[in-house]
Amino acid sequence: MRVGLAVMGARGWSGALLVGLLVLAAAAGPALAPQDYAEQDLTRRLEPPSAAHWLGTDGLGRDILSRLLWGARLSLAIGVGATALAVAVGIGAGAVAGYFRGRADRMLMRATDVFMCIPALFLVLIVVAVFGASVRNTVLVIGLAYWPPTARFVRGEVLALRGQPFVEAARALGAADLHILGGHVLRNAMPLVLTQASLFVANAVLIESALSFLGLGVPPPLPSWGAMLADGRRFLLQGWWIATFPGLAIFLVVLGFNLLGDGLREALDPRLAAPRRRRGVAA
Amino acid sequence: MTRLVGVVLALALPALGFPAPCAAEAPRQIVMGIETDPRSLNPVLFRGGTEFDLLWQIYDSLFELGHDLVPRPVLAESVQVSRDGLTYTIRLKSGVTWHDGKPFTAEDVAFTIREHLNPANASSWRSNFHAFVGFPELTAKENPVPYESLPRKPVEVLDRHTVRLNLRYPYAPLLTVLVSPQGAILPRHLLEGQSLNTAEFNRKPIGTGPFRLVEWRRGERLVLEANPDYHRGRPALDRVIMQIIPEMTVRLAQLESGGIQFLRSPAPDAIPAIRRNPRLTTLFGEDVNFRGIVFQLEHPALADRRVRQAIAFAIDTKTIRQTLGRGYMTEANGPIPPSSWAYTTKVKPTPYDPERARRLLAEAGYSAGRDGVLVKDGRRLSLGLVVEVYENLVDVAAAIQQQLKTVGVEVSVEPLEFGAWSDRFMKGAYDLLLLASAGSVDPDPISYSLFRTGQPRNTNGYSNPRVDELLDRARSARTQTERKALYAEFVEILDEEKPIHVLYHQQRWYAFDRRYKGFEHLGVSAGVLQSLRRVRFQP
Repeated sequence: MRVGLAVMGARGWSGALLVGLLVLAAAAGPALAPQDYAEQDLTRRLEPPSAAHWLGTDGLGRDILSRLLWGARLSLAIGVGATALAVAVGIGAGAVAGYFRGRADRMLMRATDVFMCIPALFLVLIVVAVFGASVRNTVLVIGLAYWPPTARFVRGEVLALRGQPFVEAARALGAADLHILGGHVLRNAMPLVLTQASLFVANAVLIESALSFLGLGVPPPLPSWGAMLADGRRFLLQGWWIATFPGLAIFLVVLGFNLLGDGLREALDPRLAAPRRRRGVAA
Repeated sequence: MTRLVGVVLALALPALGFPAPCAAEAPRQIVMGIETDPRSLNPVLFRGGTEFDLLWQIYDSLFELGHDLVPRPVLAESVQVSRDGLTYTIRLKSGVTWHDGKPFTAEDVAFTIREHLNPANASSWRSNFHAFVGFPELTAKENPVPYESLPRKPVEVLDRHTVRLNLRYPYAPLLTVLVSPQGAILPRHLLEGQSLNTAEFNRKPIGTGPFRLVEWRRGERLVLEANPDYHRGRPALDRVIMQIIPEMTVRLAQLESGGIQFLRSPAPDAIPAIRRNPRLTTLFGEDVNFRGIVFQLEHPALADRRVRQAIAFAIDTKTIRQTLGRGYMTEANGPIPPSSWAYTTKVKPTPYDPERARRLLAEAGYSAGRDGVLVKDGRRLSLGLVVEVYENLVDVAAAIQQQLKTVGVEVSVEPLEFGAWSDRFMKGAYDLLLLASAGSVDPDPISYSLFRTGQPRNTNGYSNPRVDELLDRARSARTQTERKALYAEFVEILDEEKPIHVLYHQQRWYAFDRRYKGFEHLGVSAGVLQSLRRVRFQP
């Protein structure tokens, strides 16, 4: 894997740079932000970008740059949190299904079928509408609605790996299932799962923005980028800057995670990196 | 020779600038931007919204409001009120026809009032008819009496063009609840024996009004055509197209580009751009509505009057009016607006006084907690504020949230769509609620329903025997002077007790293509639509 990262390529590294900027904004945002995200000055509403407010002010006279920086924290937390949850559930289900096969496999895969035939965003909307909007609910619901693709993916990897000679060797030496699964199978599947996860973070950020845009994300005045975008829509004719900057932020972050994901896949996926040395057993 | 002249003329006329008949003729139509489909076009089922825009054109009522907000006759010709104020004998205009050609008669009036009183119909206006004879029996929750079995009827047909309305007690504002558009009269011959809630008629309405509905494409547009036989004269415009455009930004852009010619109540922030456009003009005016914070009195903290007063003192309504409202919000001292005859100058609008707010909260036993939020007996002063996503109310709520934070009151804003918001309001499920009330022309309907003990819209549990007495007396008092004094005391008590803190009256304004003349402001919701029948195109 260490060798792999070095060959990630320019695209991957530009993605990493964008993601790095996001992480920096999230970590240092509150320190960098000129104002508190909720601080209003009604007498300075709808001001265009200026020296005092680099990215202008919104309909309540709040500094947009400050809100973007605080919002970075929220986007990253929700994106990574939801991904971690989706990946954790997905790995568990996928590994069990792929390794043990049989009834567990059938049941789990039918469950993913059921989940995948309902549009996930629709599912998320209903759950949030019923249980209310909060950061915790948003993470939970995005994570739980999007585990099936990960489960499918992991199952495929595990299926491919479980027939490999080194797995059979481990079994022949008397290793327990749990040991083989954790120590040999999943360990080898991990790089690809990480690649998938980084692509999924981009997706989760988008979903969170969509939810907030529809007013079902985190409650105000927490500055979610999606909510800022929705807010700016009302002022499109009076203040282009209100919707433009959060839109740009969402665009760059999603682009960043996608580039990073692509880069990681190029570097880590043996099927892409060295087509001739494909692992033997077909998935 | 003459033939030759004819040929030459025929060739030359277009060249001389006389247009071909259908080309550049003055548009005798107007396209208006509205936000949604109306739910129904049956005035008995009126719920507000874009129904205002349409009902006013399709139907007539017995009366309409003049600019002084005094009712004047439309389908009525004259009214005689008995000495005791209990019977109204109304002579109706003759020669009025429905859009289908059938004559309008007293039977239609009787039918409409009966349908409002019929508890099976979802009439939101019914509570304004409580003074009618038989109201309690007809609307009783258990064993309501059918209309036919009433010993004395609320409305009697004396002859083809005369009706008599019978009241249980004198009700001064009666004529103001018979006005457009909620008081619009329905055709009996098309609806008798049908369920009003589901009638096909609600989508294909027939009225006596200045325009007829000729097309309704859901989610797209409604087309109205001038009623050539309108009893007050044919409208100047031939067609009115109500284009459905849900997004305010898009409606504004359409107005700027000429795609639509009229828009009501655009966001105040759009005013400067509209003012800069030489093709457009605006019309402003006061309105009887109000916007205010309703306190849930069953909430332990809000049950304390000092806390409510403190919250009122901590809200800087002046800044809100000038910034978010851009000056198009009128200062308020209570639910009754300055444009009303019942307005009292004795009560001064609540000043912005955060110091006094802090003192009152300290008196009420609150002290600053670790995070700056006030605490009493271990409970933080943290309140929810339910807001309807309407006008710029969510921004107003956010401003209030910030202002209350400076005196140590934590507020979490919960923006809801009208349906969900209305549900919470009617159930009383809120701590604080931002209420956008349409108000009423006469102070009675709105004051009574919000502040009288036990009324359905009194959902914050407010009960003051003196207020009840004042409201009861004011609705049946005979003279306006007498009523004015009663409402003045009522507003004084509200100012002291603050069951609702009224923030401002939202002014109405409309933007339109300046070549359309004749739009007139009327100080009620969408009141400008009453003048559409006289609007003409004049380049």
